[in-house]
Amino acid sequence: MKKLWTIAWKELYVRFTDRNLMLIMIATPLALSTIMGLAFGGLGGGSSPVTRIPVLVVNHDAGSEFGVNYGDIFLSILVPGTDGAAAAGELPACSLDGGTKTGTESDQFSLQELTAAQAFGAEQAEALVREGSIPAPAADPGSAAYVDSAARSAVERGLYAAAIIIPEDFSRQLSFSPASPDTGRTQVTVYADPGRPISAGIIGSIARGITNQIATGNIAIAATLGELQASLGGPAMGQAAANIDFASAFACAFDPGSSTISIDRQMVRRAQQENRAALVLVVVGSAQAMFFAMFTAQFGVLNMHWERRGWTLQRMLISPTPRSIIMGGKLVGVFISVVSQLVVLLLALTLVGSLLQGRFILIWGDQPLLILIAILAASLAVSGFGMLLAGLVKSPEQASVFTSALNIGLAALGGSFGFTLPKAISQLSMVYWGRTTFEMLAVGNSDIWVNVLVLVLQGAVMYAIGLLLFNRRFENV
Amino acid sequence: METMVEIKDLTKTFKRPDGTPIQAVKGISLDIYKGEIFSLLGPNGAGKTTTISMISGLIEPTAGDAKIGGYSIREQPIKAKQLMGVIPQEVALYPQLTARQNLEFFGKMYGLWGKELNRRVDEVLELIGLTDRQKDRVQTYSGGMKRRVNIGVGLLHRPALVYMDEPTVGIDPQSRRRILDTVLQLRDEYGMTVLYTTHLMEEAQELSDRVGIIDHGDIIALGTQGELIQQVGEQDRLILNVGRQPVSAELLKELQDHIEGVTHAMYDPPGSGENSHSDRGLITVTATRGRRALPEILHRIAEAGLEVQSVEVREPDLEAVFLNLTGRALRD
Repeated sequence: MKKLWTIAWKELYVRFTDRNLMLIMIATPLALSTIMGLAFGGLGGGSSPVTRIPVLVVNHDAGSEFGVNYGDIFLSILVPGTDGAAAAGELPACSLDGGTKTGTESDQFSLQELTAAQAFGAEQAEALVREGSIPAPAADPGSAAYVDSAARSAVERGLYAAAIIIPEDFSRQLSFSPASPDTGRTQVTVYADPGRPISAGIIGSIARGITNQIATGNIAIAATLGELQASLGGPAMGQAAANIDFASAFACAFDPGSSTISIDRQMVRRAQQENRAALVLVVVGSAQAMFFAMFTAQFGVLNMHWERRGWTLQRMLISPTPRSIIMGGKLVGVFISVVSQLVVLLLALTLVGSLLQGRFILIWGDQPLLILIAILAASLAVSGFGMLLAGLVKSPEQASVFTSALNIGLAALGGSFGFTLPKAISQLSMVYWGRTTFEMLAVGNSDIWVNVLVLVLQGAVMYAIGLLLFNRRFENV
Repeated sequence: METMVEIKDLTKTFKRPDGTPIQAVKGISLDIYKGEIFSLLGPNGAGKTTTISMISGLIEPTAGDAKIGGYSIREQPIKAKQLMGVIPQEVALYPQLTARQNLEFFGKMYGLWGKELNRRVDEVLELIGLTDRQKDRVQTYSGGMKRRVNIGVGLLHRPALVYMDEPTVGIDPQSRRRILDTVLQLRDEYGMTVLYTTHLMEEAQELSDRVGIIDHGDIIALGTQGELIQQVGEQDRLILNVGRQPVSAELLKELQDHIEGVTHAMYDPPGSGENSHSDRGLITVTATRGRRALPEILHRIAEAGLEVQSVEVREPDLEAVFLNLTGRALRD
């Protein structure tokens, strides 16, 4: 094992003392990401790089026994111009803490700029099926299951970043009555496209924000009425209830400008504004990191061809060192090089993001263990790819042409160059899986295991095939 | 004499791109004794490097085996390799590393660690005369200095057998002289066995205790220089420079068939073989008691209308042995 680590250490030493290689490994992706971050992220203010996120809102809410439909209100917040939106847009003025503010004067503009939400029902579902954008759901046309399934397909096909499904009992569960002020449990479902984790993360955050606003508003009103009931007694309660202007109360409860709901609204805005530059760094940085990591891995593994030509490989093979130790040492060296490159890049981009923001921020999320797992999985995948190429090519010259073309192709497929292809195509590239893993972690989504599994499997399979081919090619060096 | 290397029926067959087999080494057998310098002499492409690559465990023989110090290179390769130091024709060093780092790295590959490694590295740096430049990167060295480090790496673990593959190719006369002196030093001072491959007859003659002549993958002669030259007898080589004048096949046949004592006549036109960088056309005549045959040879050449510009008479040597055995010059 001492020999294996000696070989690995030599690989690392040679690599990290080569200024040209360092330029490619670290400086170039860092510079590209920083430039993009500055260009599209700015230093504060300005518009978000993530805007007009396509999202579907499916409202199955049947309303409460009092005729209140929270689903409509939910919809109205995201989709101006719908029936619910009209109601929301015409919300009466609400007066809280001595201030008067209308719903239309709120900061909903930011939310609407951020999302491009559409109400989605049976009609829209059938339209998508008719135009062949999605397969026909198995459920009965027009049924809730049909619409849900259609919405899910639309997200799966990458037509939308997310779909928010409001259940039929949404209002009923959240409704209260003076006799029973406790609200029930209900669940809003969000289907998110893992291929667009940042957009999906933002939509998830928005959905949580709105449902919290509704719940918080209800609880506040229920508590107030509970107090009224306690102090005024049963008969008096009826009179008091009759005097309450429910429309105004609800208007205040669901007005994003009101103090009750301002916390969630701010949360959405924080994600949008404070991480604006960081989001660009995450999106561009993760893609560039994967792209340049492929080069590092390939330089390392394909270097064996140069070593063969320079006879240093033969010199090692002639020594009393088993071939497996020599290969193992070189591959460990390459793997550690890639891991080191990704760690340095992620740290450097965190520093750049913090500098742009003027304070320290964890742009890759706050789950260091998962970030490490993502780095290891990504390193394994790109190293395996390097090994596969080393086994396929015959000479260093062939390798340089072959690998550059392949890297650029995979990077383009995986979304490294600023445009995205249909998900089914993007998923062919390990750049996609690596990039989206880091993006998911950046928005706090820890469900990265499918991505990790794909990266590890890709890496392991390519390693095995590459090693087999390489050993056969180098049998008689 | 104790045997250091025992080669038996060693064979290597490669496949051409079209799939047809080509036998690079044809079942050679020979022994190399402890403490001797054994030269494997042969023209380029004769099979020297393939033979040595098999002996050093770099390529798998198609058939046969080689034992180093009693260890089979096929059955006990690690033990066999531990006894061997290899000095390849190429400068097999990492240019980004210093001389010391290169020596340390390859020393570790031979199982040297810690103080022992440092001591050996210091010794080798002293031997190759690069102690003062040990911390400079190899890429800043001259060709001769690189060669010296290349040799140093092969000697670091004090191997019982040193294999040197044409170590003087492409270097200046001063460095060449130094390398040849080192080879003699390894045998005389360190008692090492040296297996030396070359296509230069002069080097083989100067260094070797015994010589094996290899051609087309086969050992065609084996023995001490005296034994090999005896095979040629008293034959001299007469080398006549005729410049750029054309020489006919009829003239060569006439020289070979009609002059007493002449056994062979051949012609190297300008720009070929030994004359690859000159405009000399050389007629080489092998003849018993060549000096006596010389007047008749000159007469016949003059009759053919050619003017001889210079004549050189060479005593029997390994070149003559090769010529005698193959009908070709060693450098062809």
